[in-house]
Amino acid sequence: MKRKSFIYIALKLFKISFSAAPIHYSIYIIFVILNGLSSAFLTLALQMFFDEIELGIKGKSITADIITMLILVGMVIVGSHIINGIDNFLSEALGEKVKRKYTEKIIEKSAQLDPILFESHEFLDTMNKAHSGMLNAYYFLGVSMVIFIYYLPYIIFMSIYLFNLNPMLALILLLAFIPTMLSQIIRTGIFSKMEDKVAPIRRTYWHYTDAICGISYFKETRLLGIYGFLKGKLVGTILRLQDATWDTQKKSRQLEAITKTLTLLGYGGVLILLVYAVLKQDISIGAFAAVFASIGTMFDTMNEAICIHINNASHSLGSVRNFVDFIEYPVIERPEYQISRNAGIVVENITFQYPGSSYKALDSVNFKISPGETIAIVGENGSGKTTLGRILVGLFDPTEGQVLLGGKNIADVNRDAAFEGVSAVFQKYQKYQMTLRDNVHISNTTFDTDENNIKDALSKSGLNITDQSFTDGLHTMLSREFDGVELSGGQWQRVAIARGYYRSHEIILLDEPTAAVDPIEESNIYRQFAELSKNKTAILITHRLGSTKLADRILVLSQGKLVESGTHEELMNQNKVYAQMYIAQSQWYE
Amino acid sequence: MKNAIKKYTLLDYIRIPFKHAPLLCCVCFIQVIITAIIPTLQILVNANFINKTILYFNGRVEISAVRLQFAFVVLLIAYQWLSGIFISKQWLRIELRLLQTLRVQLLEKQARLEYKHMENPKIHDLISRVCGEPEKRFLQSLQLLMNSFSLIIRIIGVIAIILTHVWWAAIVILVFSLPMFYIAFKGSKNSYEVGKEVSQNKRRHEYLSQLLTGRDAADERSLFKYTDFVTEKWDKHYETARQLEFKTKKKWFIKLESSSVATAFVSIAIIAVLLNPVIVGEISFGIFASLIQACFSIVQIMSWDMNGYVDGLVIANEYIKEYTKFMQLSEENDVLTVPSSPFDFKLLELDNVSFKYPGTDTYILKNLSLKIENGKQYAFVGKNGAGKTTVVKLITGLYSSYEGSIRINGKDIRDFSHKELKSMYSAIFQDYARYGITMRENIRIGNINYEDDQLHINERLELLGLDDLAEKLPGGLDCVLGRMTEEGQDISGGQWQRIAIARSMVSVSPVKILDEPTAALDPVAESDIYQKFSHIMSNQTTIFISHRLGSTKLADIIYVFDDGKVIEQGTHQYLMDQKATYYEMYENQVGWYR
Repeated sequence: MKRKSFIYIALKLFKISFSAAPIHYSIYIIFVILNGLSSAFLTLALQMFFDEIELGIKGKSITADIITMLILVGMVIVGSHIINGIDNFLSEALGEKVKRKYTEKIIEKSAQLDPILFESHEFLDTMNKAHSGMLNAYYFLGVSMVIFIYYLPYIIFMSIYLFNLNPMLALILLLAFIPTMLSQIIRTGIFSKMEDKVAPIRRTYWHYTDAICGISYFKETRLLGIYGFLKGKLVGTILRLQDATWDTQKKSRQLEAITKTLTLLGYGGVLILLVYAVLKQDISIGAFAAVFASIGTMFDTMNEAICIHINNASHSLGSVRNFVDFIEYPVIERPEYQISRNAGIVVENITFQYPGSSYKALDSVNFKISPGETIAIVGENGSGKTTLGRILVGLFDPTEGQVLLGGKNIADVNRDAAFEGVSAVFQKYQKYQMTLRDNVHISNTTFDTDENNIKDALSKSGLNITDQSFTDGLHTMLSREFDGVELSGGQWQRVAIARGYYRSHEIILLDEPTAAVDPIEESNIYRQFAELSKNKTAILITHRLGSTKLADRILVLSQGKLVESGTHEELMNQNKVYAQMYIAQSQWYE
Repeated sequence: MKNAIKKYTLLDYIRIPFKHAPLLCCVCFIQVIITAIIPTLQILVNANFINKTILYFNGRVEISAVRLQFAFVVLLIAYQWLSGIFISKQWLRIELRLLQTLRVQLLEKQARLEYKHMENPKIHDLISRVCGEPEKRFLQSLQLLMNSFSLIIRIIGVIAIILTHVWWAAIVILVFSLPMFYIAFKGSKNSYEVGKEVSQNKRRHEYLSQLLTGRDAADERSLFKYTDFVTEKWDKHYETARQLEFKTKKKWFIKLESSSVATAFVSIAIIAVLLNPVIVGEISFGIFASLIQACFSIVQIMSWDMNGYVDGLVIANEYIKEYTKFMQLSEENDVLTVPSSPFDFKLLELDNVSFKYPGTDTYILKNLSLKIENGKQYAFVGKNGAGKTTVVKLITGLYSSYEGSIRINGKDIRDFSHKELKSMYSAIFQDYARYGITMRENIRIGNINYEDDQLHINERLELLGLDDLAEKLPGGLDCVLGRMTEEGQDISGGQWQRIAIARSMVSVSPVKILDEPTAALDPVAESDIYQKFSHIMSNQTTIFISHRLGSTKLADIIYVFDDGKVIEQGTHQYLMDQKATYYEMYENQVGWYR
C-alpha cells in the first residue's frame, strides 16, 4: 500500500468525524474560530483602552471614553472566557461521539477480515497499532483542524494589526518562529529513532516484575526461593533502562536549548523594534503598552501550537496512519454460491503454511469424506490437526490445492455463504460474559429466537439447566465480572457444545474438548457428540486415542503429512504410527 | 504479620521523593520558588522598562537607561524559558531514582504478601492499580503540589504589589475569588464520583469490543457471524455510558465556567480600582500597564490550569488512599529467602483438615486426613475441584488458615520457617511458570543453592529429549527463552513442559509434587515421560496428581479425592477389588481402549 499523506489522513478522519455528528461539529467549528479571533481582538481592545488612559493622564480626568473602553475590554475578556469554555466542552462531548464512530469502523472492518490474518504476527501488530491510532485520531484531527481554524485566524488578525502599526513588526514576529518550526521537524526525526531503544528494555523490565510478583508466577517464584535471583536481573535491567532513557532525553533537551535561544533572539528583536517604533512616534504609547503586554501571550500561543500540539500530532501520525490503513484494508469480494453440504468433502492435495512461515503445517494432504461420515483426526502435537480442522470448516484457504464441497472449491465462494450449514466446537471455545441463552444463541443469531430451540440444544449437550448454579435459568449471567455465576470447566464445555449444535448444520467439527475436564466428563462428552452427529458429517480432532472408536474412519497426521487412514482395526493391523500411539496410551491400563 | 497502621496522606507525595532523592528534590523545590517569584519581579522590571521608554521619549533620560531595563526584561524571560530545560533534567533524575528505590520497595512488598491476597481478585486489582508505575504517580503529584504552591506565591506577589499602591483592593479581590475556589473544588469531586459509575458500563462495552475485533474470538466471530448481534449490545452500553458522562460533564462545565467568568470579573475590578490612581499620577503608567498584564496571565492560569490542579489533587488523594490500603496488606515473615539445605524427611500427616478459601463460604477440604511417608510414591486422583491441588497449597505453606493439623515429622507445619518448607518440596504445577531467562537458568532455578556442575544438567536434558533443542537454539543453553523479553526465542508448549520437569529433577528436595505434568505432551511423549518418572522417582517421595488413571496405577498408595475428603485409599489392585468409586472411574477410562 502506498504511504498515505498527512492531508489524505486528515481529510479522511474529518469525513468520518463530521458524519458522526454534523450539527454538533459545525457548531464546534464556529466556536473555535470565534475563540481564536477573540484572543486576538483583546490586544486591539487593550490598545484602544490604553490610548484613552494616555489622554486621561494628560487631561487629569477619567473621561467617559475611558469607562467605555474599560467595559469593552471587560466584555472581550469575559466573552473570550465563555467562548473558550464552550469550545472545550463541545470538543470533549464531540470526542465521545467521534470515538464511537471510529470504533464502529474498526468493528466493521474486523468482521470483513480473512481469519488467516489473525495468525500473522505482523498483522496483529498492525491491528494493535491501529487501535492505539484510533485513540489518538480524534486528538490528531483536532490539532490539524485547530491549526487552520484557531491559530491561523489568530495569526492573520495579529499580523494585520501589527502591520498596520508598523510593517516591520509583523515580519519579525514570523521570523521568530521559523527556528521553532525547524527544530520540531528535526526533533520528530530524532525522536522516532530514539523510542525504539527504550521499548524493548521496558518489555524485559516488565517481564521480570511479572516473574517476581505477577499472579501466574507467584507461587512458583516463592516456592523455588528465587526472589533474590530475579531481583538481581531486575536491577540490572533498571540500570539499562535508566541509561537508555537518559540518552534519549539528553538529545531532546539539547535541541530544546538551541530552539529556545533562537526564539529568545526573536523576542529581543521584537522588543527593539517596538521601542524603535514608539520613539519614532510611529505608534502610540498605548499601542506600545498593549503590544508589549500581549507579546508573552503571542509567543506562548505559538509555542503551544508548534512545540506541543504539532509535536504530539506528529508523534501520533504513525499510529493514526495505521488506523486509517486498517479501516481501508482491502477486502476481496468473492461470489455467493449455493453449495451442497450433503455431497461430502474432497480434500485435494492441500498444503498449508502460516503467514510468515516457510514450515509446511500441512503437506500434500489428500482424502475424501463421505456425507454422514464421522472422521477422527489424530496425531501428535504440532502435526497439523487443528490447522486441518480450520481448513475443513472453511476458515483458512489452503496455500496450495483445494477443498471441494459438493464439487465446488470453497476458496472461490464468499466466506459467509461457505459457512452456512457448518458448525464447530473449537478447542479454545469462548466463554462469553453474557447470559446462558446468549451464549448458545450467538452461533446462529439470524435464526428465530425461540427459547425451546435453545433448551433443546442444551439438553442434547447434557447440560442440566435446572441445576442450582443457574439462578435465573436461561437468563443467568455467566461471568463473575458482571455479577454472574462461575461455571465449571465441564459445564462450559457443554455450553460450547450446545452452541455448536444449536447452529443448523450438516457438517460439524469438534476440536479436542478435553482441556479442563476430568475423564468421566470427557467420556460423556465424546459419547454425546457421537450421538449428536449420527446423521451429520462430523469431524473429531483428538489425541486421546480411545475416543477414535466412535469414528467411522481415522486419519493420522504426522508433521503435516497424512500418514495413515482407515478404521481402528485396519490401523492396528498395519502396526505403524497409529498402532504405536495407541499402545503407548493403552499400556498404562493393562 | 500485620503492619503498623500507617495512613499515607498527600504530604507523603513530598516526604517519599525527598526521602529517596533529597538533594534533587531540594534543587527542584528551590527552582519552583524562584520560578514563582520571577513573575512578580517581572511586573516591576516591565513597569520600569515602559516608564523609562516614556521618559526617554520625553527627553528626560538617556538611551542607556532604556537599554538597561531592556536587558533586565530579556534576562528574566531567558531565565524563565531556559531554566525549564535544566529542571526537567532534574525531574527525570528523580523519576529514575524513584524507579530504583520506591518501585523496587513496592515490588518487594508485593513479593512478601500472604498468598491469599494474590488469589483474591479485588485485592489483585488494587495491587495492579497501586503498583503500576508508582514512581510516575509520585513524581507527577509532587510536581502538582509544587506547581500549586508556586501559583499561590505568584498570586500573592501580584496582590502584594497592588496592595502597596491601593490597600483596599485586597477586599475587592477576596470577595470575588473565594467563591470561585469553592466551586472549582466541588465540581472536581463530583466528576470523580460519577467516573466510577460510568466505568462499569465502560468495562462492558470494552469487553464487547474485544469480542468484535480481537484475535481470541476470531474463529467463532467468523464462523458464527455474530458481529451484528454483539454490535447491538456494544452500542447500547456505549451510548448509556456516553450519555451518563455527558450529563455530568455538562453540570461540571457550567460550574467551571461560572468560576472562570468570576475570575475575569476580578481582573476587571482590579483595573477599575487602579483607574483613578493612574489618572491622578499616584501610580505610574508603567506599573498600571504591567499590573494589568500580570493580572491577565494569572487569570489565564487560574481558569485553565486550576481545574487541572484540582482534578489532579483529587486523583492523587484517591491514589494515596489505595496506597495506604496496599501497604497495610498482611505479609509473611521471611518468605523471600532461598531454600535451606534439605532436612531429613520422614513423615507428613494431614489430620482432619478443613479449609475454605478466604472470603468464600464453601469448604473445599472437609475433615481430610492422609499420610505421606518417606520413600513412597503417592497418587492423588479425583474429579476437578475435589481438593487435590488445594492440599498441595496447604502443605507447601501457601495458606495457613486451615482447621485441623498438618505435621511434618511430628512437628506442626506452622512451626517451620518458610526457608525450611521451601527446601522440602519441589513442585511442578499444572500452570508451571515460563521464565524469560536462559534455558540453563530455567532449569537451574530448580535448585538455586547448587552450582552448575553439581546439577548434571546435560544428563537430564538427554533423558528428557531436550538435547537437540539445546543444540538448535542460538547460544545453546545460554539462549533466553520465550517472547517475553528482548532477545527471547519461542519454544513449544511441550518443550516448556519438559523444562519444568527438568527443574524438578535437579532439585534435591525430599518430596516431589507433580500436578498433571504432561497435559501439553502428546501420547507417545507422555508415555515416554511416565516411564522415565518411574525410573527417576523410584526412591523418592512423590505425590503425583493426575486424572489419567493409567499413569497413577504404579503408585504405592492412591488417595481418591471426592468432595474435599479422601474416600478411598490403597494400591491399584486393592481399590479395583473394592469395586467402588475408583473402580468406576478406572473402568470408564479403560473402556476406551478395549
